[in-house]
Amino acid sequence: MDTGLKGKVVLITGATRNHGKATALAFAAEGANLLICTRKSMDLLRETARLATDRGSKVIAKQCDVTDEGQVNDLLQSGLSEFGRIDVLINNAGWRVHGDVIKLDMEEWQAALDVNVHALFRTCKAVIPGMAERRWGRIINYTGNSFMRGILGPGTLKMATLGFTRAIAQEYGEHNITANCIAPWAITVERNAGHVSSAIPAVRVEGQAIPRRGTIEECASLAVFLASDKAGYITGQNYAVNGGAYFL
Amino acid sequence: METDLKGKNVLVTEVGNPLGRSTALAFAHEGANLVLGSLDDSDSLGAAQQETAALGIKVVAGIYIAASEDSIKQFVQRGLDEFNHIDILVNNMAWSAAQQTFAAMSFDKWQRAIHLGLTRSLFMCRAVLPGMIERSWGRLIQCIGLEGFVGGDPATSAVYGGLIGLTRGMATQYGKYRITANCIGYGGVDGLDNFPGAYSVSRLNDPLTRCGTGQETSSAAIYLASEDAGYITGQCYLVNGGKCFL
Repeated sequence: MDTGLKGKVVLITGATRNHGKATALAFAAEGANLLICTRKSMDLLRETARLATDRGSKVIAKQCDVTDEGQVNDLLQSGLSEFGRIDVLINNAGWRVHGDVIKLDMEEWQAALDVNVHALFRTCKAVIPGMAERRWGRIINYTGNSFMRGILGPGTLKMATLGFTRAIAQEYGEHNITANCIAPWAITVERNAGHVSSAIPAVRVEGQAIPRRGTIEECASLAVFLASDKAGYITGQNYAVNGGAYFL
Repeated sequence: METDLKGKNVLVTEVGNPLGRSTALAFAHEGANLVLGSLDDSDSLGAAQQETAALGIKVVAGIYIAASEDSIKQFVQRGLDEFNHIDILVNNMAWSAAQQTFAAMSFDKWQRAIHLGLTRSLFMCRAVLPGMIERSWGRLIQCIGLEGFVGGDPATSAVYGGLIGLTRGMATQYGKYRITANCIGYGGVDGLDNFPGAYSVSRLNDPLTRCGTGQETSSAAIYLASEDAGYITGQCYLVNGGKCFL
């Protein structure tokens, strides 16, 4: 399928590993150029950049804390000076907060709200005006299945993400900008030691329609499709990549 | 239908708007006692208090500051002081917000709206939950509007989406205590949405080309709060004249 992504400029937040990295490499394989960032490990980000460059992409890799408006604007400026525009924005950076409603630590809640929700506002503010001017753009936000499974912290924040995505879809459809979400589930990913929380029920794939874990590449391919010219009539949606674990 | 709500204690927020007011009245008609709250509108709060108390139930009313969890705790405490426990929370966040485009919205306004809608609701739920857990019975009802489903004002859309996620999370966490958590997704509510510029104003191509009356819109909260609705949790029931479908 010709995705029409050759030469397009794609901004991906949180691109050191897992979905962010796989998405970066999938766009690189389509001939897109990349602006990628991380809050933490520049070593890992440089590795993503190296692999994408090997696939023929031009890549800018920058440290950026998406909770800091100044840093987001600096990131955008780097992309604009090199590429002149941003065509696709992938909001992948995320931060989990877990706990019982009553015991939820409000500082952790605010921090998670900042990364998962307020950051979307900042990145969209940075890239949408240019997209609107050129009358072409794609916003893709990673959600997940937490709100389908009733996991309180991530479920709340990711449903907020979906609501916001629909508002962007509504407001910018006339500018030929689409906004969608990708909801991965039961995907094999690397996790930090100690990251697995007892608040999240273990993944059971036995009862799924496709009884195996999915790969990050299988999710990334959906991001590529949604960003393509062929997906121009899809907007405001939340597409699951979940082996049929649940149906929307 | 027997709702078993007589003598139950119900906290309803934002009774200053028509939806909150009609919800409070509907519970009063069922014989429930009320704790009525509002962010700032003390005139309409007083009117709602008078109107509901006239039906022979006990009512306390108070205002709170959205930004402050302490203020919300104090407000809930007033209800607890009067009634000893709260059985049902109807957190009425459905309002027809002034529609602002993403292009025109400042970060400060966005952040404030998220706090006002989402974090405030979290505070309200945290304040009433311990008593519900202790008594092994409770109903948490979040009233939201259309924007979470169909877009619109970006902050409102995010808040309503977030409240659905919060509801599902609370449903999962507290089901074992016989506490249910549900949302009601309103749209086209008479007095709330039928003014020029309201996002969910009834349109000619809607299945029901009229606004929903107070009784029609508050009845869903009564049902979800009733004993018979004890197996319904984590859901969002739409009461919107068919403006959107799930």
